Formats: sequence, structure tokens, C-alpha cells
Amino acid sequence: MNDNELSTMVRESVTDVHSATPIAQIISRGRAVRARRRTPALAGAGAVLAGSALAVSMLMPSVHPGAANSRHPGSPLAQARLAAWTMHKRANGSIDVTINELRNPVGLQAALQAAGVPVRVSYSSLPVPATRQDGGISVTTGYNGWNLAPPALRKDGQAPKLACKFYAMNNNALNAAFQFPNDGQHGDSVFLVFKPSVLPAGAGLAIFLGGSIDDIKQPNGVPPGTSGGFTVQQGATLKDGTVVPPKWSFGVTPVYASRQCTG
Amino acid sequence: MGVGTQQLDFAEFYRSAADECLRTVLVSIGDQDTARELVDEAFARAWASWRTVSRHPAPKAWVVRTALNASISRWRRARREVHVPDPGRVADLHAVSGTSATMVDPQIMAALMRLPARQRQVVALRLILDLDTARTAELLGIAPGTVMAHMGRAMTALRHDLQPALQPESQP
Repeated sequence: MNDNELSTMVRESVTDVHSATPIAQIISRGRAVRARRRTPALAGAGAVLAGSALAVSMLMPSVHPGAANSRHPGSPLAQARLAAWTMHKRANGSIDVTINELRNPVGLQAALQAAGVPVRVSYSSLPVPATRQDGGISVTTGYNGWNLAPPALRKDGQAPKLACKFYAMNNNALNAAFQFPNDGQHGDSVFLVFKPSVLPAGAGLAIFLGGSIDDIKQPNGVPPGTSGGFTVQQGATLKDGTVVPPKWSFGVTPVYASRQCTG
Repeated sequence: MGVGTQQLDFAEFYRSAADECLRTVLVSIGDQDTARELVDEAFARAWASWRTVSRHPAPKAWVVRTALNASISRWRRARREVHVPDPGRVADLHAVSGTSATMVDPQIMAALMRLPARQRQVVALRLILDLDTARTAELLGIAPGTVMAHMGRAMTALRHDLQPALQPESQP
């Protein structure tokens, strides 16, 4: 069998395979892709601007905000902001958030607050927990699912004063107010839906990106059915056994809405 | 160019390229359902960026590259029970799950799946998408010489793998 015969054989092995997806479906899906790209420009632009200076300080804590001192002077801030997350408010009041990169939490918090969600968005100062997983993204829900690390002690050895207070909300209420459709996966991004109108009065949500939760303490003795929130994290064990530690984790937990916590 | 014209343009591209792109991705990853999903997603992204893609020197290659990138992302992020096949695990299969015997030759597909991933991609791009060595090299981000080496090894392996199966009567 010469190369030509072999090539023909390989080509012919798949000649009966045809794409059956209607063009209309592709175009509709493409429009959704476009819409996802456009939403940041439409949603919360003003709020994002207001949070931009703070965002820079969060991202680069060792330098003052501003291009002159930035460690990434070549990266235009607007571009970074648009790439980090998108938000879309629906007519029914629910809010879709797609997080593409774990950056600019302050901008996201400001945009969500402007859209009526009492929320705190923060990056953990703790490292991503090095839990071993056999799959990619794992989602844990409920009180025992947290990768909760104790808040770091202050330099003087005292426990830190925590900004947020845990709100004992039952699972159904939290599930109604906050959802991870498709386990939060959405292409290469994390997709979340907030329904602020069904949050109990006085309740808010704290979202934690990048590591373990470190500015709220999980209380003891909460009633059965109380939700501790959700965590999603990415990690993998490759087929050859190599463990890839999670690059990020993401969690949400109910908190009391307060000036210190949710602004 | 108006949106209507763009849409016609894209529709024409989709009609002419969808089957070829699907076959190329199928040969690269081995699972028909996944290949369909990835190619659909890649075409959707092509439509979302049609102004750019339409000016690309090889838009079909763009779609395939996008689908393969999406496949890698999926694999990285997949949960254990999600099913982008890992080439190392399908190497011993006689037929690849998800490929219907009526549509894909199972012996050839199994032989392809026994190839290393990079060789399989080269075979798919060179034979199914009919790209030349230089374009294949560019698409995969490797040197043209490496493409030729992969192709040569892949053809040798396929020949070795398929010859006995295709000529059973010549065996004693």
C-alpha cells in the first residue's frame, strides 16, 4: 500500500460524515458570542470607571495605582477590565455574570451593587487550596463543602476583625437567589446568575475569587438546612498521574448586608 | 459590507467548509459528538468575528484551530465524567466510541486514534483539510520539518497498522 492509497483510504473513511447543524443555529450561537463580548461596554460602565483606581490597587498592591507606577504599564486598563468579566441585566431582574479572568473584583462589585445586588466581591489573600482532584472543575454546595481556612492572624497575633457576618439562609433561598448554571462552566468562563429580588431582606452575598474564604468565619451550630454557600474550583489530575493544582477557586456565601461588608 | 451580505458570505462559507472542518476535527479527536459540538462552537465564533475571519488567508484552518483549542480547554477543565477522549486512553480501542460504523470506518479510526495526538492533527490537516506543509506548520505552531516528520511517522504507523487488517487473506 503506497502513500497515495493510504491517504485516499483515510480520506474516504470519513467522507460520510456531514455537518447537520443548521446555519441559523450557528448564526444564533454566534450572536450570543458577540453579545457576551459586548455586554461589558453596556453594563455598568460608569460603575466600573468609579472602581478602576481601586481595582488597580487590588491587583497591584505593592504599587500605587496609575500607569506611571504600574507593573504592567503597557496594558490598557480598559481592555483588562473588559476581559475580566461581563454582566448583563435581564428584563426579569436577574443578572448574568460571566467571569473570564480573576481580575478587577472591585469593578465587578461596583457593577453588581449598581444593579441592585448587595454583594462583596473579593480576592482571597490565601493561596488556592492545593486539594487533589481527579476531575477538572468541582462544585461543592452546602455547609460542609467549603475549603474553609481560618482567617490569618494579624501580626500582633490577634484574630483579624472580619468584615462580613454569616447570614443563616436555607439552601432553597440561596439557590433561588444565586445559581451556577451548568456548574458555572460557560466555555472558558465561569457563568453565574444573581436574582437579587428574591434575597431575603437584610441578606447579601459574598463572592470569593482565587482562594479560600478569608474574610468571614463559618459559625458553629447553624440550623439544619442552612446553606454555607457554593464553591467551585478548577484542578486536574492528568492521565499520567501528574496533579495540576487548582488555578482558581470561586465561592459564594450568604452574609448580612452591611456597610462594612457589602458597601 | 452590510450585515445581510456578511451573513450570506458566512452562510456560503459554512456550507462549503462545515463538512471538511468536521471531518478534520473528528480525525483529530476521535469522538463524533464532541467534534460536532466543537466545530459548531468554532463556526459560531467565526461568525462572531466574521470580519476578521473572512480576511484570514485560510478561514477553514482558523475554524479547525479554534475547535482544537476549544477541545484542549475542555479537556483541561472537564470533570471526570465528561468525555473528550484522551488519546492515551483510546489507543487500545478497536473502534472509537461515538463514531457510528455506518459513517466512519472503525478500523481506520481506531488506527488513527493509536497515533500520538500531534501526528493525528498533522494527518487531519494534511489529508482531510488538504493544507500544505507550510500552512499546517503555521497552524500548529511547529516547524515545517517537524510536520513532515510527523506525517512520515504517521503514515508508517498507519500502514503498519492497517495492512494486516486489509489483507487478511494474505496471512497464512
